[in-house]
Amino acid sequence: MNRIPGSFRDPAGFVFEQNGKYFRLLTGKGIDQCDRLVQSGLYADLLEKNQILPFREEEINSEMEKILSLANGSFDPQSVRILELEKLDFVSYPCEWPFSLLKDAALLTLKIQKRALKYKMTLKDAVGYNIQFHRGTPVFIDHPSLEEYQEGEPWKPYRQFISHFLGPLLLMSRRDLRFRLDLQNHIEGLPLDYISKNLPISSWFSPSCLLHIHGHAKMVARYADRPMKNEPDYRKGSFSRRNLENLIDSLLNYVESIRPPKIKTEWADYYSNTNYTEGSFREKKRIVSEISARLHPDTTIDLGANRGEFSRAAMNDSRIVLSPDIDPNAAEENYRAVRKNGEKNIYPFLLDLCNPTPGFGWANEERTGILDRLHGDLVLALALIHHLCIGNNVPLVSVAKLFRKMAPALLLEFVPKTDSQTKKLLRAREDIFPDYQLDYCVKVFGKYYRDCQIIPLSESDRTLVFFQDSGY
Amino acid sequence: MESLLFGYYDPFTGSLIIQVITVGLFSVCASFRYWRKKLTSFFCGPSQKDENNHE
Repeated sequence: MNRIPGSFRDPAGFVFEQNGKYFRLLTGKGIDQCDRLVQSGLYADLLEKNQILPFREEEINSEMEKILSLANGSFDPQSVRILELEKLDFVSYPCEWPFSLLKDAALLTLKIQKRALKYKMTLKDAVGYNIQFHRGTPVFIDHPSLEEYQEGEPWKPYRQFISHFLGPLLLMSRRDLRFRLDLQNHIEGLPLDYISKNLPISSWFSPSCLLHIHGHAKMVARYADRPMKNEPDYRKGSFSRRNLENLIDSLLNYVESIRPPKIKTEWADYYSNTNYTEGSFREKKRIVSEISARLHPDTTIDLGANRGEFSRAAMNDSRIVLSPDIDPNAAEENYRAVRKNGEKNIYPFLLDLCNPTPGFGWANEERTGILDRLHGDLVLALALIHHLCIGNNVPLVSVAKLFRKMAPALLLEFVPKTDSQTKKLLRAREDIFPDYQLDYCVKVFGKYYRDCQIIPLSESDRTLVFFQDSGY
Repeated sequence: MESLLFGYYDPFTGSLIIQVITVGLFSVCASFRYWRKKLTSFFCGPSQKDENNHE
């Protein structure tokens, strides 16, 4: 049994893994909240809309009992409840999400809050980590976050929502898409004063921005050190359920109106500027489909996926396709295509292979690094190797080692120095890569894989090389 | 995946004030829209949208 490293902050329970399945242990208040969630009808409602991660109650087996007894000292099976959670295909974090995925996560949070009020329930927190992208749609995964609503209460996680969702979306929209990386540095959400300082002056003329961000930051700073005199009694207050619904509606309208910036990024128009002929492009797609059909991988990892052209060539024969790219606009286009086409097994996200998301949070273990989450059966490294080796000076052996850690099979596209894209990379620098040759590449990668099949691409200088371990 | 509630709940402080102001402004805008619609309907007759909704 392995306790999930990030599952420790809520005393009402935690998530653990056993034999490849995921469970949530609930105690005390957590059990009451879970009962209320189910009995109120909210769980069934959200489940019908595919907005919540399904779970079912599980009996405590002897192995669980033994381990829980060791962990907790005296252990009373009557005082805990175990829920088996549907296993997520892939876990990603808000700092890795394209703009529209973060926006959809924000909208889902608000819609769940609005829906919950109808069942006299409410969210007690609104963090990005409560949402995961699962089978083509964001779903809410933190069931104990839903609790009974007390009439008169304001929205407790309002500031959290601004820090985790609204603030980052506004910064990405009005300043720079790269502000999403700050979500990794601020695991508890971007501070309000930080958001306020980094938004452009024009944001002060937007009433919603002025209220939710700038005014909010000033108010929080002003009252931060004031002690509370009495325990608040919200039944005496004027913050009715209707007011709370109006607040959620106003936030919903505002988030809906936020658009990604219309800026040109380096790789968004990649397919308009390639040197492939139509024939070689089609041939490459065909080869990807054939190899996927031959292997039937459970998980395909399409590194440098761009808009997901080749992820889609592999998707019919893979259970899931992880589709990362470094370019935020390319990942955005990929995600929009997933949404538009209703694709359930492609997972676009952002990844810089030369600086992948590390473990972060408490003890650098709370949120797992991307390289520990990125494991599959087939890696596609198409039109990528020259960027790593020539663009970023990464030795071939290091690339081979990394790819082998991810999967036992690899389809690599070798882009030689005679290719126009590689020439572009070498244009402004000295060629210090004498070993960057196909033969040497095959030799180096051959140390990590048993079998190798070289597939030249017609009408192109590029070559596809398929490596796999013979045991696979 | 866990609640980060602790430290974010701040009743009677900045966040609550902003929530109250937001809700107040929302109510004012809603009232404004309501009375504007009523006045327009009084002077100019019901709009096509209202007639369609009525049907």
